[in-house]
Amino acid sequence: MEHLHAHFGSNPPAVAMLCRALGGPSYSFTAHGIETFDAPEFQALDEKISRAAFTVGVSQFGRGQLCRWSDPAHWARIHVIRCGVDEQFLGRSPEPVPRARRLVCVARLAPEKGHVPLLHAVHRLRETGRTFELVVVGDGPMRAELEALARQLGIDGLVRFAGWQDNAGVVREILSSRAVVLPSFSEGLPVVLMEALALVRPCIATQITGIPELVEPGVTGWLVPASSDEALAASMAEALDADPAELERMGRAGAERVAALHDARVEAARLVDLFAGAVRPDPTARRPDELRGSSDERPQVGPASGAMRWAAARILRASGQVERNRTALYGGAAGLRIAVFHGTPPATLEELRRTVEWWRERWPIAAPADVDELVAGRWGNGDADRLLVTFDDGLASNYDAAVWLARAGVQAVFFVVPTLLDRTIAQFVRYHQERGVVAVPPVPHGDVRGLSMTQVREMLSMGHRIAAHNNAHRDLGQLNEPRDLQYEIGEAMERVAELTGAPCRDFAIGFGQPENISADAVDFVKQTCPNVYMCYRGLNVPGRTPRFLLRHAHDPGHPTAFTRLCLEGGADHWLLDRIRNMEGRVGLLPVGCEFAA
Amino acid sequence: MRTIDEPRGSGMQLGYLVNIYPSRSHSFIRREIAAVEALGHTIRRYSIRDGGDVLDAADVAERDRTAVLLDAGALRIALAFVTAMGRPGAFLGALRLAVRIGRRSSHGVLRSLAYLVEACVLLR
Repeated sequence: MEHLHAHFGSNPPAVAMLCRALGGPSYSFTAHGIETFDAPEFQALDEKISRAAFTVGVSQFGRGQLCRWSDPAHWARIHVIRCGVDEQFLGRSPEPVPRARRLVCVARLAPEKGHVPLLHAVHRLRETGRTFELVVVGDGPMRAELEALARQLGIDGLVRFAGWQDNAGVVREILSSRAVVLPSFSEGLPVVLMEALALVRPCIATQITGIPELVEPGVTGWLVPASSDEALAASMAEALDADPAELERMGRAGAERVAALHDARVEAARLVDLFAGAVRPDPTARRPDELRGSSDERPQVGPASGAMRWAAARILRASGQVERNRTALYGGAAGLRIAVFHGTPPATLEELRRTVEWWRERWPIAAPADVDELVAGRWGNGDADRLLVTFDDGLASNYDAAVWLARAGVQAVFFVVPTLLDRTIAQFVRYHQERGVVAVPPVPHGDVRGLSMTQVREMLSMGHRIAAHNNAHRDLGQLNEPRDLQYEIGEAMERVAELTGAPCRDFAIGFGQPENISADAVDFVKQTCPNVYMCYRGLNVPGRTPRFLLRHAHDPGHPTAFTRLCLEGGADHWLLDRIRNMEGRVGLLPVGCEFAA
Repeated sequence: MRTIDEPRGSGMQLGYLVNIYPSRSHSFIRREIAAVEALGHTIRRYSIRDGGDVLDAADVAERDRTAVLLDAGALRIALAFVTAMGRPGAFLGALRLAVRIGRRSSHGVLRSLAYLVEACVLLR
């Protein structure tokens, strides 16, 4: 386990904190209800916050309370992640507000939920001569007491105690009511309010804690002072007398607010960003292709191994090892060197510029069409390596790279995950989920965006080549069924062809290692696509290196000296076993210079 | 402890710790777990205690995937303790921390030491 997240501020974070002290994983926790803040010193809240990687409040109010009980030094690590509702609520088409004069309260039957003033408010309304029904969903220690109170007030004919319902039952009760009423004295931010608004029903709630962040008077419902049955009765009267069209308008405003603030997928993506910040992976334990994981966000290599790589680069170059390697591996022949970048936020873009400019001062830059020549056996055997710049995944940050490269006169190949275009990572995952496919996000951040179709078209007109990457970014080493291979490879090629208006010639294997492509996938991609790209170091030389092209994955955390060493070929021998493995499986690049330029 | 699914798949290996999970009133945690997993990460679910009342099929499925810390038998607890004491420095530090927060708490030191035992079980 790399990280432990606890819910509620009481004993779970205490256990997580002790587990951490014992040498366990880093931890974080979400504090919900107000009870956490009632006795903070007993709960050792300050201790839990100071030792946590981060702490989460479920509303701005909750964050304020966490700040209140912790040292200001930790406030930057206290975040708001709101509770979310899922597609069961967000995705459905709205049902009209019923004409029936019915309100519903969904809460545990406990003193702090405010059922007592609610029943008194019902009594007040009955005195005004209104006929209506209040449905009380929930159960708890106060049930008998509340039923007795209803009888005593003579309103037992107006109040129906429905007990606990399952999810579907709660939805049914909310939909058959005009509004949801929640008279709590003490709350975090009740999920039932989000559910009600998502179902296009306005809310009557108390103006306490985080509730006003969701329920806005006159816009999404009514706010009343806690424990005032008079104010509660006045708001309930308005809801009962209102035109259903007016209630629907408030409900829709509420549904929009919930979709914006309480989408479980969006909030989870934000939480995952925080988890990723807490988890510091050991870069030496990961394969080079994996290092690109979240290149949009953070450097991957710690200072120690960075220094080692820098030193290795210096030593290998100074000792003449670079030249010896090239002779041993490629017989001294020149070839095509391909670099692959992933996300290109400003810092990575700066490195891209430096790398391209450094290369261009020494050797020629290749164009995408050079690959077609190489794979067709028409590679001009010049004496200098050429560099082709490529990008995987199709993240939105690649657009800036495309613009800079076009200005610099460099044409690049962009391998896009076609289903990520015009979507965020979270939407991409959901898109495949709807098709019964578990997609693999190229970066573990739900709100990172793919390129837009418009950007891709512009990039085409700049002279770049748009090519295909795994459709759902799944590992092709795990897929053998023709149906899956068609989904990952075939569909990706078709979508790119549709987008560019020309047949797609290039496919980059996701994760790019020999183990990331099964024998069936090799056969499939060979039949569908002329130019196939892998992702580990090496120079592409006719007759000497695999038919599937080698690429060097740029890592934003590597020292520049090391990146240069790799592009010069000084570290190719480290991955020789992979090169040989693929040679055995797919054969060598064809030789033949009869059409050489 | 109940057996739980071994984590599979890519992404981060995460743990979720809740007092009572799953339970009807904590469906938002279930949604959060589902949404985090949909982003490609693996989550092991831990509940400190057993006994959440569940009505929904989704919660019943979650119950089968959740390890309950207090379900651990005496043997497991002893093993967990021995393992934790394999790093005496860390163990003493945690013990001191447990006593400190226990002294300040209304629950007292004994409850706090129980948390330490749970932490040992979790660590294993």
